[in-house]
Amino acid sequence: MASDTAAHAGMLVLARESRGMTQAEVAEAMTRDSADVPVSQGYVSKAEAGRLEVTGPRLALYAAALEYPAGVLCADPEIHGVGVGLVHHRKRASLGAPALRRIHAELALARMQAGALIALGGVQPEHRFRRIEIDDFDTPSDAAITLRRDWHLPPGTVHQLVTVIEDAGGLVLVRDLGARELDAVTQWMQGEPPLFLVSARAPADRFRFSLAHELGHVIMHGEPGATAVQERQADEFASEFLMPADAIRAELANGQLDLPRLISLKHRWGVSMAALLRRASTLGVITDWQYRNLMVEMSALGYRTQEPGDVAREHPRVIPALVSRLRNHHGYQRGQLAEAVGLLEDEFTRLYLDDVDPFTSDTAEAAR
Amino acid sequence: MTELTRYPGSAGQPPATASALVTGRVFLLDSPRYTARVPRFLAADRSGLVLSGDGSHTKAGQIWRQADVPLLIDPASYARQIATADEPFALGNEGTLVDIGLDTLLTGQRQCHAAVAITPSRYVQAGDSAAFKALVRQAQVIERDDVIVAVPVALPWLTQEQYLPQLVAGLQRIPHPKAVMFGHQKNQNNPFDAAAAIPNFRRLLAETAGVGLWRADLLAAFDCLAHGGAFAAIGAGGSLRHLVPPGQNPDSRDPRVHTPAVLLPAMLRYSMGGFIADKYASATAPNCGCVVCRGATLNRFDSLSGDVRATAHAHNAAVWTAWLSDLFGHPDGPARQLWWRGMCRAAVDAHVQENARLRQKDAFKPSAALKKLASLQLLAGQYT
Repeated sequence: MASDTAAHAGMLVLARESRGMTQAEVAEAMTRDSADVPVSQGYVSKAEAGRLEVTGPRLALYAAALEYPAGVLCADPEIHGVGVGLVHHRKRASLGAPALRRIHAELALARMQAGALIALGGVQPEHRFRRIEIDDFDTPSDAAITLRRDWHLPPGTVHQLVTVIEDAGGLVLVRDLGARELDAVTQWMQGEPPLFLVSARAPADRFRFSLAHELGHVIMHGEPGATAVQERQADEFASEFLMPADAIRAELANGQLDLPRLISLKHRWGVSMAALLRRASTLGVITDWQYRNLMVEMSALGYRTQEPGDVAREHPRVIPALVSRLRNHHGYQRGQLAEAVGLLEDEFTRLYLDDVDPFTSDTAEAAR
Repeated sequence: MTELTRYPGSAGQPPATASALVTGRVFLLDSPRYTARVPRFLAADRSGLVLSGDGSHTKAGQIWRQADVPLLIDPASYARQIATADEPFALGNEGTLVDIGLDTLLTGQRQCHAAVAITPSRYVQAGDSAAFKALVRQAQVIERDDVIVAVPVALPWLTQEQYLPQLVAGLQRIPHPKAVMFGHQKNQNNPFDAAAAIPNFRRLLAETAGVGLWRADLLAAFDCLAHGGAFAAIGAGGSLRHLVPPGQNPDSRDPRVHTPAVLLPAMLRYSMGGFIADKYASATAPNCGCVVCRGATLNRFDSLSGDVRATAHAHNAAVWTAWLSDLFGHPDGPARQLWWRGMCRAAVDAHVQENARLRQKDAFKPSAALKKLASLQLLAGQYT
């Protein structure tokens, strides 16, 4: 990653927020690492406001406190396209603003990292995403149907949603987002493929629904809008994308819809029992009374917090395959790649080399 | 070519369009099987007769000369067939591959002396956006002006926020009178008992023009007319007051199973003839002053005979027909709504009074829909 000699104020903010630290905590960490010079919160504040220059030993101290290479703090967020633009996220109301800022910053930096890897690999990022306009008559469900048709998906279940998105040119990263309240964030900047950052903490069924929900945002919501409306629309999109009405209606209506049957359908469709039940209700397959009864039954059994029945966990393949190719075919060392993406080597290893899907290989990337 | 019937409108002039003919009318919707003649009590300027289902064309040909009210033929394809994106209308002879064509079908109704024609719309399942949009788009290109477009949709289209805006947007696009009806499963009660149904339907009426409620009961139909609806059709029997999705035949379609549903005017409720007879086994049953009953008591319908059923149906229709002058006598808007809410409140009170008179707690329980109608605010935006 190219760097200048002085820290960029905007990047200092972004890097700090990505670590979930306050200015006081940064100052405290810098003081701890500095043998004799205390650093105040006011110093950090001025540095982030661009009212003083951070260079030399202070820059190294700053970088150590934030656990980033010094070079990354000198990057201009605008030039590197790191700015936090329109971000969609699937979260619960209880997620606080500081945590949300941290995750947005993490998304921005993830985009920068992915961009650097793509550039190193000499890959031309092409994709098949397009915005689909919706209104009262042309609904989110219609958008999901249109997208499935655009992408030539066969009728019925979506077995590997991550693969579908990656095959269309989207980038998917799975991270521990550090908050149970947030499942995924997404950003699609002009001229780039959309990036989906999905929580590793989510159960596999919720992971899939969240990813489909974010896909809905990317496809339908080019502009900020009323949050509640957009969230409902993204849920509607996800339901139709993962559980197409014309395919699932008959299965939901076939025989008694009870808990064993919901577990069976969960395996088949890769969505939660709760999502299937809601789908059955919205499609008018079951009555309100049946819906309420089954929900009560699921609550009583603790299924609202932990459902029975496993869904196969999905793993991204494109970025891991790219990293693999850069190491094995292009001869890059781990440290070189870490420096290129703006991470310390340990963190690069944890994010991009550990827990890599054993099936990941160059073939996934070659398929693009 | 058979001359097309032009039914005289209330001003004595031939109506120019279907819209002019149906607006401000509450139709009686009946099966040709039970229709021997056109009921004389139907109000010429406020009502009409719809023959629904198999045999309607033939029956219309037999009785049209008696009609001094508009006569319509509803193919009721929605009761048998599911709409698809390719086939929102039933255009073929069922069981054959022959595609007759929409215009030919509509003309066929007119040639059988229907005052205007009704589209052979198929039933749109909940969330089947493609089928709904196909119905709307094909309705948009109907060029003739003597057509009512039937819009038979599953109840979630009305009750679920996910679908209602699309339903409204679709209705707004259709430049013809729209006969909407809401299908619900046979093990559900009145669709308008659902919590969101009445407020959402009033919202739908406020945002669309030329919409009428089809296959309705008395409560839903009058509420429609009190809140901006253009017209309504009330079923003579229970199976014609509701719409059960194709393939889910209701038990009540077999008249051998149930005694007829009888309208108890004071309580604005339908109860089975056998149920009424039980409740009044040791008390005086209420009399009815409609033109059919002429003062007879309402516990006389505890029978499975066809004649008794026909009389019960005639009583039901005669009662609400007599109320049409009151309904339309109040100007459209708050005055009519106030009158209607007063009727509903009085009906709720009548339940209490009748239970007290019978000394049977909860002998009659007001329906959820009636209680809702009696309690909702009048002004738009204050329904919830």
